[in-house]
Order: sequence, then C-alpha cells, then structure tokens
Amino acid sequence: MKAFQYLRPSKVQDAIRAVGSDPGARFIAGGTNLIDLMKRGIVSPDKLVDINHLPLKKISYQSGRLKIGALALNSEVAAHPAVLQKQPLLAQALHSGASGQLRNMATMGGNALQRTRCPYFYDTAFPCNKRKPGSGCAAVEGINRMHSIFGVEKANATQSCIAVHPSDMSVALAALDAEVIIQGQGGERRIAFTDLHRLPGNQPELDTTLERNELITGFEIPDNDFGMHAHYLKVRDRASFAFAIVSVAAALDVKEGKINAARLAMGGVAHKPWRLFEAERHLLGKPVSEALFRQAAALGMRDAVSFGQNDYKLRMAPNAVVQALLHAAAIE
Amino acid sequence: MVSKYIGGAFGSGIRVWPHTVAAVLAAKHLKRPVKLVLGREQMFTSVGYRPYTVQKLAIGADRNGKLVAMVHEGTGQTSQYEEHLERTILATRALYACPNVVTKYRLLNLDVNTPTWMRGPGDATGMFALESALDELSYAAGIDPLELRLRNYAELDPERNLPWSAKSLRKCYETAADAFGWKNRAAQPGSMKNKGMLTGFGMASSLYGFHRHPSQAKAILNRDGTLVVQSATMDIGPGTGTAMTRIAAERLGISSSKVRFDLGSSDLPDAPGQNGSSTVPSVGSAVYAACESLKTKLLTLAGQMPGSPFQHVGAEQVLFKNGQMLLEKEAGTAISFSKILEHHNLQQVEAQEESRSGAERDRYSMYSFGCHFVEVQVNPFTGEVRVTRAVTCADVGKIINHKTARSQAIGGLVGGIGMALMEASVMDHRFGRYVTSDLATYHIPVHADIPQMDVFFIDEADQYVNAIGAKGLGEIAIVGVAAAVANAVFHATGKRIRELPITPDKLV
Amino acid sequence: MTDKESLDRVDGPEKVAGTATYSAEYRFKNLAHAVLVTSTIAKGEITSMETRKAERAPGVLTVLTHLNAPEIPGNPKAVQPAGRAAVGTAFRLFHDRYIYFDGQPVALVVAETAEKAKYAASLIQVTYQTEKHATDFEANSRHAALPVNIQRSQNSPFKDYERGNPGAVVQAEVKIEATYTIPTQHHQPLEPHATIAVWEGDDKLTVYDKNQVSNLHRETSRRHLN
Repeated sequence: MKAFQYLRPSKVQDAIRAVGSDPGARFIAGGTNLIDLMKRGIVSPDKLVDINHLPLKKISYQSGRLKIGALALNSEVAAHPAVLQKQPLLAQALHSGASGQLRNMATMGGNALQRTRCPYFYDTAFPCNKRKPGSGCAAVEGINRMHSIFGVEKANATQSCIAVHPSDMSVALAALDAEVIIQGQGGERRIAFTDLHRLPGNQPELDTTLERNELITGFEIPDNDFGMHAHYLKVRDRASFAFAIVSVAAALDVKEGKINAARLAMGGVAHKPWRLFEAERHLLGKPVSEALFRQAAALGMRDAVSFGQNDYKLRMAPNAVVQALLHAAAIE
Repeated sequence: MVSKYIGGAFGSGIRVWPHTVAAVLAAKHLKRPVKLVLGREQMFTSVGYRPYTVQKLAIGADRNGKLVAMVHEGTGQTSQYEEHLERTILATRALYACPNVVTKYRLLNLDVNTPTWMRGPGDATGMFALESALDELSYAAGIDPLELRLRNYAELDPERNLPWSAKSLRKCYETAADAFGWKNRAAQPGSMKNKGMLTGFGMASSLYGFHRHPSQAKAILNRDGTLVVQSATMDIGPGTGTAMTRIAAERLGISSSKVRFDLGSSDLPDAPGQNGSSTVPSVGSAVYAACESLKTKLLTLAGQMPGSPFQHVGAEQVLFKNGQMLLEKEAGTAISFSKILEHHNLQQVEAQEESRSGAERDRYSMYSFGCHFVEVQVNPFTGEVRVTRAVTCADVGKIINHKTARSQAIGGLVGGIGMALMEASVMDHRFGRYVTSDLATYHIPVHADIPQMDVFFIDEADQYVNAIGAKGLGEIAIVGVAAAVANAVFHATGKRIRELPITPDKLV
Repeated sequence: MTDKESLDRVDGPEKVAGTATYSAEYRFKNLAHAVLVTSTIAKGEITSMETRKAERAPGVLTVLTHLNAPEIPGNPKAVQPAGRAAVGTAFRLFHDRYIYFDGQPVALVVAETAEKAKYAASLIQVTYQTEKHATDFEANSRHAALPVNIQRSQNSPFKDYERGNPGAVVQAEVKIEATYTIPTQHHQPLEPHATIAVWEGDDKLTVYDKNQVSNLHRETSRRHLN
C-alpha cells in the first residue's frame, strides 16, 4: 500500500477544499470499500480526507420528508423509527446488504458510492475499462454470471462495461424517488437519486455524475402512500452476506383494489439501480393480480440482453419482479 | 517448528509450501526474523485446493434394486510438475455388496499449481458421484433411496473379502432416519410443498478408511499431582488437546483439570500430521501407551516403599482413581501419586512410548461409517436452495469427547453444504487466472445458511483398531454431505444437478 | 457419552479471550516483513525483471528472485539440467525462469514493515514470454492419462481395478449412467497461511508456521537450510 497523508477536517467546506486542491486526494468515511481497493492496488490515494468528523450523521423527519445525513451508519438508518415508519423499504434493503459488522461501519454516502464488485475490476492483472480505460471489458466474453442485463449495448460492450452496481440501499432509494444533496466548492445542488449513478457508455470509468470535489451530504425521501405495501426481494448465492444476483424493490399504493402508484427498481442487473418505469406505468389504475404483475415484469424485461453465463437472469429477473410485487401487494 | 494455535486448515497445511521456504530463505539471508503472511488472493494459488474432478458412473441393478455392477471412472486435475493422487474411486469398491466392479483413475496435467488434500480428500469427491448415482438408481428402480442402500448392505468388505473390524452402518441409518422423519418422505419428486417452497428430502451414506500412523507421546507426572502429556501433534480445530487430556486423565484416574497437553512444536515427541482422521487413533494410542507405562513405573515405585501392599502386585489388580492408586480388594491401601514421588524424593516421573498398528490390519477391514439426511427448501421462482434440517449419524468407534466430536460433525456438515451449494474457484481460462480471489467471490456458508443440525454417534469401541477403540471423525463428517444435499434438491425439484455447486442459476 | 459428560475445549478460554497466539502473532524485535510477488501468466518464461525501483523504495531490505536467490539446498535436483521440470519434480522456488502456473512466486520483497514491502512489491515489473497454456479441464480432458506414479508402482490402490465380470453392467435390468463434476474448491481457513522464520544462529532456526505437520515442516526446513 502506498504511503498517504491523512487529514481529519471538522468542516464540510474544509473537506471539500482538501480534496478539490489535490488530484490524489480521496474522501474516506467507513472505509469498507476504499480500504479493499487500496489493498488490491485499484486506487492509490496520496491523501485521505477522513470525513467521519463532519456533522452529517443526523436522521430526521420534517415536513413530509425523511432526511438522512450522508454519514449516518447503515445499521443506524435501518433501525431508526422514522425510517421504519415512513420508508420501511429502505430499512429492508439496508438489512439485506453486507453483514452486521459492515453495516456498523458503512455510511449512507459510502454505500451509494461503493464500486462494482466485478472480479475483473478488482484484479489489476486483468483488462478492465473501468479501472484502466481502453483496456477492454474482460467480462463480456468471460466470467459474467453476475453481470448486467440492462443499460449496455451488446455490440459496444467490449468497449464499455457490463459490471453491476452492487448496493441494495441504492435500489430502494431509486425506487423511493430519493434526492441526493451534494455540496461542492460553489455551493449545494440536489439531484434525483436515479441521476446519481450513470450508465457506462463510453466512460465506464465514471460510476456517478458527481464532480471530483463534490461531497454527498445527505439524502431526502419524500412521503408516499406505499406504507407497508413495499418489499425488497434479494436473490443471492447464500442466505446472507452476498451481493445480489438479482434484487427488486417494489412499492405499491393500492386503493380499493386498484393500483394508485407503483415503484419498481432492480439491483444486480445494471451499472446503476435500474428503474422499471414502463412496468410501473402499466400497473397504474389496474386491479391487483398476479397476471398483471407478470405483464409488468415482461414489459420490464423488454430491453434485457445477456452475455452467456448470465442468460439465466432473463428467467430469474421477471420471476423476482412478480414475487416482489406479490409480497408488496401482500398476495401470497 | 512451532504451531500452537491454528485458525483452520482443512488440509491446506499438510505440505510445506513455497511461502514458508521463502520466509526461511529470507531469514537466513538477512539473519533477521522474517514474517510472511499470504494475502487472501494468494491463498488461491499458494496452498493447494480440492482438484476439479470429473467422474463417470454406470450402475446396474436387478429390478429389486440388488446391485449387479458398478463402473466408476474418475479424472482429477493436477499440475504439470506433480501428480496429486486422491481416493476418488476407492469407496465404490468397498461401500456396497456388488459382485462386478470396475474402477479407473486418471489425472489431467494442466498449467495450474498442484492440488492437495482438502477435508475428505477424494472420498468427498467420489462419494458425491457414487451417492448421487445411487439416488438416481433408486428413482430408476422405484425403490426408496434408504431401502436401496439396505438391500445392498455389505456384511463383509467386498474388496478385500475380509470382515469389518466393526460396522454399525445399519444402526446409523436407523438412528438418523428416525430422528429425521424419513418415513414422511413422499416418493414423487416435487410433491412436497411448504408455503410456496419446494421441500426435498435427501440422504447419503458415508465411509472413510481408518488411518493410524506411528506416534510418540511422553507423560510426565509431577509431585504436585499434575500431569503433563506431550506430543508433536497439531490442532487445526478439532480439539486435539481436549481429546488427549481426556484420554490421559481417564487412564491415570486424575481430574482433567490436572492435565496439560502440549502440542504444536517439533521439539516434542514425534507425531504424524493432523490429517486423514488419524490423530485420535494414532496420537491417542500413544498417549494411552505412555500413561499405561507411567502407571507401571508408579506401581514399581510404590512397591519399593516399606510395607507397601503393592509389592509383587500385577497392574491388573490396581485401580488408579482420584490421583491415587489402590488395591480393589483391600481397603485402606490407597496412596496418592504425590506421596509416592515424595517418598522417593522425585520431582517427577515420566514415560515415553511409541505406538503403531500391527497385524490386525491384515485380518480386518477398517473403516468409519455414517450417513447424512438433509431437508432442503427450494424457491421455485428464484432457484435459491436453503438447507433447512440436517441429521447425521456416525459410527467412528468410541467417542473420546462428545462435545468436541459433535462440533467436528457439525463442521463437516457445514463444509458439505458449502461444497454442495456455493463453493467454486472459477478460472478465466483465456488468462489461466482465477477470478474468484477473495471471500466475496468464493462463498462459504454463513450462519444464516446453517439450520438445526442433529448429530448422533453409535459410540461403540472398535476392539480391533487400537486400545482406545476410536477410529477418527474429521474426514467422514463431510463425506457424502454434498450428495445428500444434491439428492434433496432432486427430490424437491425433479432436477438432477450433477455439476457442483448447485447455485440458483442452475435451477431457475 | 453426552455433551454434559464432556470436557470443555481446554484451549477455549485462550481462543475466546484472544490470548491464543497464532503463527503471525509472535512478536520479535527487528522483525522484517516479506511479501511474495506472483506471476500473472499461467505458462511461459520470465524474460526480465525490473527490481531496482523496489530495491530503492523506503524500508526495503532485500528483493530475492530466481536471478539472485541462493540455490535452495532442498529444491529437488533437476532431472534435466535445463528446461522445464519433469512431472514428479516438486515445485522449486526461485529456481529458474519458467512459469508453471498463474500465481507462482517470482520474487520476495523484504522490508521493515508489511506496508513498505507491499508497496515495493507493486513496483516490480516482470516481463514474460508467454506460451499457450492449458488450464481448462473440459477443453483438455482428452489428455487425461494413467498417472506415471501409478504406472511405476507395484501395488498402488489407484491402479485399474476389476472384480467379477466387468461387462455385467450392460445386461442389468435397471441402469443409470451419468457424469458428475466437482469444481476446484479451496480450503479458505479463516486464518491465512503465515510464517515467521527466526534465525537464531548457524545451527538454530525456529519457524512459527501455520501447518498441520510439525515434523515434516521441521525436516523440510532443515533440508532447505542444508
């Protein structure tokens, strides 16, 4: 591991300045991903700016919005009464991620910004466009059982990236129309959570739309009428402590048997949390039924592609969508 | 060489690997202490592995399920510079009564590092195939899988045509099947359902050859009544020190709290490596012998004391109990070990013995036996498999210490569930390099994967294997587990997965 | 016997309290830290090694490779003096330029701290001439053969075995035939392998090593030291 400088500012602007003024500097919060990346030589910062002392840990509910500081721990958020009451889907998704020990270290901001777990990205002996732009995507014709089925053009894949965004939390935040609050040197801006992560395109090295010297300071989730009609379903290779093969965040507002509002997002299927907008629209105004959910799932799969070892996701993903919707609607 | 505590090894520590040589080389070169710790990613290419193995099985039976013939061909991978052999096809010759048997074993040299023994080496691999194949045969013949095994029970070792030193496999089947509730199994695959999940019952037999190697142990009795027992054996986790303490304490009739067992250093009396389930049978026998020898010395010393009732007394007449020796038939003869040493002005008495097997190996066929029963729930929509119950019963001779033995059996089941459902080191052959290089990509079971497990032992001494009647448990605990899981998956889904691990993509 | 009549694990308290000392945890003054550099190709030859940057990196004590390491007495003698090792030759550390597998040790960096050693290791550049490798079992299975060891042995249990009528399976009333595959699986103990080698003078070396066979390790170390 390369020797690095270590700073521990107590003001947000100091932290942003420290990173903004040094191209080799990186923010560090829980470190549950960055330390791994440093050990494997994927990133080698000259300077670590520890943001754990910034005042960004608060969780509160005010005027119809759940506000969560970027440094709130995953475990705290998952157990917070306001979260459990207002946004149970987020608590479910957080609980299904990582392990107890990691959730006690990992922050909300760090969770959203974690890098992909594609094995080619983690090993410098392999080509990887995300780690080394232009070197190729080894996964396209390689071991791609865990990889994307959405958001990548097959013809262009070897120049791009078929890795998936690994966070469970992000899938719930995408479904819940969360907003991201971002602080830069020039001030604050807000974006939809669905605009935080990007598709790989011609710049797979970029995971998000954040500028280098910007810092996520918090997330806000507006009220909704989903109540307990929300479910996070995670398919994985073992019962806990494994990244999603496919996951689905489903939330329904059902009034008098009819669907008033619906949110569907998937994890483990794309370079970003994948919203199924067309499927959501299809559900609107219709009575709840398994057949309807199957139609929605089929619509959601329309643009899916696969790369060999992940062909099974084309069968698994729609099944998972239907199951998540059935759970959300509380139909067994 | 010092290795007092070991955080698991499962076979990866049986050879001296290059990294140890490298550290020694550097220490010699620099004349300084040198530490070398392998990174997790280096653990994939530095300390061996269970080799990729392909097995072809053909089994024929009559319509009553009586085996007619078995053909078992196994091919494992090895490096270009060494041939790693393992017992892959051997169980097929011994487990069932079958008149016609063919086995072939081959190796494929590849540009990879050399494999090594991993828990249940060869047997865990071979029995996955054999016990899956028996299960397939049971469906083909329309016979309950357990009944099929009972119909082919081998009363003699069919390979060597010798009597077993002991075999209570039938009792294992009965015990485990009862505890599991095997009689509630619906014959038809896919017919047992529970809240939308598919339930499957599966079972498999297990066996593992008996191994005993020459071993030495030294027993030192101190004047304060404490006993130190020493042997250069190891403890990679099963609780070697605990078992040996128990054997020594029982032999000498003292409280186990007065016994200390030293291991994990090559300065101690020679012992074999901890592998092949041989530690208790081998080192345990040496501890037994050293303690017996120590008792003889104590008896001689006692007999030399003036007016001693122990003069000209045979060892068989003497009881060793509560730190004392006494004559069973004469009251008031008890004398403490401390008094004997005090009288002779000795600080300690010691005895060292070597123990090894003898001609009994030619008269009897020696194996541990057992069986596993497993229930799985399969999600029909996602293909996820969860083991929801497991029952195992092992006939491994006398159980030295139940609690640690039970832990070992549970560990074997956990390892077997990993083998069946998740463990796979995946290589990208375009590069000849593993893409699984950490514990996020190489999955082993976590707590949430492990259900209630019930462990039973027959706990009867095998009178022919050694003086303590114990056969060893570490390896057999995993042998057959993967087949039991795969068989349960077939019963749940009607899908026969012949290529491990059984991940959701193969079932969805 | 039951659990109740059992003895609790005698080393349980040390393990639970964290006072049990594992191989990498022994403390020594003057302890140096070593990191292995491993190959990134599966087959070929090392054509050059750039180690100067690593040697000059802060805290580095030495860099050993096949180019400068002393011949290890315990390495098996070559069957052929040059060229690749024949089957049956245990792996020879830092012996020559040949690569037999991906992940093969090609250099050892020793430094004052583990971090410094690891950083220096990342500065080493190895140039290879690659050869076509065969690692895929399924693609190469036609080359499977009866192991030489077995061919040469008089009484190997692994020799082809037959009892009764080998053709009997064909006429059986009920038959199954199937192929079963298990992938490569790794032990992955929680504690990674670790060694501390303590040079205590010309006739004494103490090795703290995670392994299962104390005496084999003693004898092997002796051989390697000559």
